[in-house]
Amino acid sequence: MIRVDQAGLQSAIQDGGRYGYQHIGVTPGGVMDWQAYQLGNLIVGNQLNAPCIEVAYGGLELTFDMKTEIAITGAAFTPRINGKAVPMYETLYVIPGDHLVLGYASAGVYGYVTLACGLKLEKILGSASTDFKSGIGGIDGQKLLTGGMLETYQARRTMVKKRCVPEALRTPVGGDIRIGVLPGMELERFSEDSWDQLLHASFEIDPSSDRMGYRLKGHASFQADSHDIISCGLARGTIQATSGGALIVMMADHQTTGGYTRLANVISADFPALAQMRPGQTLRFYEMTLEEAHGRLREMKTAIETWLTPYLDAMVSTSEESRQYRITFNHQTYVVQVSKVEE
Amino acid sequence: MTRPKIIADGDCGIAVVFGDKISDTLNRQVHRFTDDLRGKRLVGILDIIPSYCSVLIHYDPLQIDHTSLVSIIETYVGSSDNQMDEGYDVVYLPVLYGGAYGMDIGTVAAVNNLTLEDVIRLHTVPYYRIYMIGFKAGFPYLGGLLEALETPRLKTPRIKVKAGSVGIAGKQTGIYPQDSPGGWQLIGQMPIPLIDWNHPDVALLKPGQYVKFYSVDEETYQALLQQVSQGIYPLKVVRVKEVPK
Repeated sequence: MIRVDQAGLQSAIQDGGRYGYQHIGVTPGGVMDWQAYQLGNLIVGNQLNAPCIEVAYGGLELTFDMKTEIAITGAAFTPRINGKAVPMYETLYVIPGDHLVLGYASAGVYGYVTLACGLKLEKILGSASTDFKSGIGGIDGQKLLTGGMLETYQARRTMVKKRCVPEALRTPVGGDIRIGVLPGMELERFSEDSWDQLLHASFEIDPSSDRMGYRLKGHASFQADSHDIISCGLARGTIQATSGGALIVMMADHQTTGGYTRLANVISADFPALAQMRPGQTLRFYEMTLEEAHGRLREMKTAIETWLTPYLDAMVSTSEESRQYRITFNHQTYVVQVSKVEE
Repeated sequence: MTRPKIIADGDCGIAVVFGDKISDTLNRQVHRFTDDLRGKRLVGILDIIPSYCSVLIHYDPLQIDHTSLVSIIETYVGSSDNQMDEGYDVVYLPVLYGGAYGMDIGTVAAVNNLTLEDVIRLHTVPYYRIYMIGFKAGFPYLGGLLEALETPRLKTPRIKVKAGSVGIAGKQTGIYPQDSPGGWQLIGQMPIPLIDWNHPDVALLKPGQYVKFYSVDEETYQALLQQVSQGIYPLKVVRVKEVPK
């Protein structure tokens, strides 16, 4: 069990998202910064999409009653365990009684606490993600409450060698951010200079931004022949222009369908950096092609695999019954399963 | 018929656009194509979202590359053209109209110079096509509201509208799937939940089906509510070859 001593501003259970039900209006949701979240899971030897605690801005404090590995990734926190500063993006080993204080982020918004012990949660439509609007998933469909308990699977012995993610692989937080965009579905319905304006203006994240959408403040105004379209499916990262000329980027909890003209789409590789932006922070857009956008995703995947491979040469996976090891011998890689023999 | 356009919608989406108007013909093409593609269970496709006249396919570019997916889509777009629909489901939904259950029914009547009975009669006549489901989990976009019932939205939206509320907003009629704020003119209450997270289908209604409302009295409504709370309630769904005009 894990006790939530302080829940912080908005901490909730999230995972890779509830996909496959958008045709009946169910938003996929899931984590805002998939890059930090996936790395967090890899650091503790989890599957990429294991449920985690997503923390907005900070304030989370936890007490553990078991031995396990955890990791803290995402926004720039100054975490402490039993008062002692601990690094982010690195395997941390906790023992019963350990008290984690996350602190408040100095840059970025979303932090991720991933846990090797796993969180015992009821999945709804294949996901443990908290959907605040529908009130489902996570813990009773809402944010974590101070004093609450999180059920975990049985404590595991330490299994993972210390893993540390290099700076270059982490989601950039703070500073001026550049975000790649592709032309939107209705770009040709906007005035001719709109694309240039989008690429040359700078924008500020509006304070009204949340997990559903980030509003962009800027001097440029984007006018289309009409701002309404016949309602249709909406992709994550879409930049809609409302009739007032304001831009809204569709974030993790966006509605499944929408009816505003679409000026551009944020590329998936830069979505994590955008998700970590705070109100008041400025960003600029740069142009990409579809091929380049896909290339960036593949590069990220390769970079993560390259980083992870040396660690995998020890252990691949573990369960109560058996453990798998990857062993490279004479340039040939073998996966060896080891199980306990009953006496 | 013009060939649908296949357009990249960001780096994880492909839109198949069949046209740019609200029509039964286009929407039927949309759902035939959606059913075809869904049936293929392609690895890397995360979601298929049909709407009025287009389909958005959400894919993982690390699992299926864009070019192959486009050529697969081209194949199915072509083959879906020639098929006929095998029939349509009409879902009959009970509504307790007026009174505390539909407090704006008087407004709808007054705006359109009708009696309350007229509003109920005219609202229960059409077979409303479910063009799409979206906006909120389980919310059906219904087409076919009679012009005689069109009523502007409330000037000030209500902070809380109860799940199951049946309303009218402009040319649209619909049902609120969950308690939520809302500005629709409320004319009645439908007791059967549109969303049941524990049911394998989750949503009561599917896009491409038709909805036919029928008026029930308070006693029947209360009895239905009782049954719903026990998880057993009758739902009339009739398969028809052609939907009556």
